[in-house]
Amino acid sequence: MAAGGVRTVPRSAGMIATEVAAEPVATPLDYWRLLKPNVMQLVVFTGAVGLYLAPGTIHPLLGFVAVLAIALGAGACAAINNAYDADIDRQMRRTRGRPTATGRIAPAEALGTGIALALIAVMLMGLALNWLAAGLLAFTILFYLVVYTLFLKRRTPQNIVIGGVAGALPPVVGWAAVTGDVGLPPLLLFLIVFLWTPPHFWSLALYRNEDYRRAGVPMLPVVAGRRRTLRYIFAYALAVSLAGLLPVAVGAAGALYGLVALVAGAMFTGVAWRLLRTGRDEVARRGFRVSVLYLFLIFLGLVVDHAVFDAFGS
Amino acid sequence: MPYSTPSGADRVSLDDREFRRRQRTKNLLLGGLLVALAVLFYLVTLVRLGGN
Repeated sequence: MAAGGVRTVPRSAGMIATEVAAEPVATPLDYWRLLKPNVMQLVVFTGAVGLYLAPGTIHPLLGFVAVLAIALGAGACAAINNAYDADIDRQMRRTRGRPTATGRIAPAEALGTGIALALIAVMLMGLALNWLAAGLLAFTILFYLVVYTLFLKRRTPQNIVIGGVAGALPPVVGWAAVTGDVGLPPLLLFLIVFLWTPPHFWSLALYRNEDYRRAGVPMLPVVAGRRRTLRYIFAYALAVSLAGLLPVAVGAAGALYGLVALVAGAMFTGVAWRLLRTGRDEVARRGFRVSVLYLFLIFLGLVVDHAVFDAFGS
Repeated sequence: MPYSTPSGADRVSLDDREFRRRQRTKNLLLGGLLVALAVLFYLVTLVRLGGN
């Protein structure tokens, strides 16, 4: 059977007829879903903020290209991850509609798409911006695919802790695209996203526990149990809320951002504390949503603070 | 029609037509994306050569 559901069947001597198999055929929307647009938008947002905060200016077109390269890199990761994980995606309610899980896109085709996107993303970044940013982007993609997808995801409950490195790098890539180097501020952004990742995914894993158990993915609630996961979520939420204040402490952001970080941190830690006390699925769901809101507020706070500083000075 | 049906022996089903239509859409989209990429590289070259 060839990719895409077409097979050639010999009908009679010297004649080949084309038949279409019963499987559905991929639409452009399937290819869009292959790139996990929900994940991509968070990656693009944090990468764009890193680019915006970096000192110096670049041509708007090059700024657009940098963000596009980050988006393509995220899409490449998603496509290759979909190709590799089609077997476990089919077993989980949350992921069984993915085009590689339903068979609308063959894993080989997803893999090819991902490799092509990754090459385009790195080349674009290198040729348009600089090769440090391109190298960091290539490292991010390879780390996500080789370290997280191939080695960690199915082997250890620390999968999303260590794998979080890949998700935390886009603001560093964005910064490097402008400056050609890596300073302390983007490393703080890296730290914030890195510490944010575990409570975000463990909240999801709590209320999708059966999915992960059925698929055999060793997420923390599956391996270590609910109680221990709740304690870890609270610890990480507290840690990321404190790390969120570091940009103010080192002078990389002002009081306006500090206020946002305090409020967002209190909100995130508060819901993690309620989750620790109750352990209920609906609180885990709320924790997941609040974690997304937290990251959005932190990065938006940095942008607004920077814009206000630019407009009115110190 | 990009393929023939010898003397009507093979019926072209609706699914088949739909499949061909989607293949054509996919090819057009891919072609469009490649053209867009070529234009983007051209514009990036102009900007880079402009000293920015």
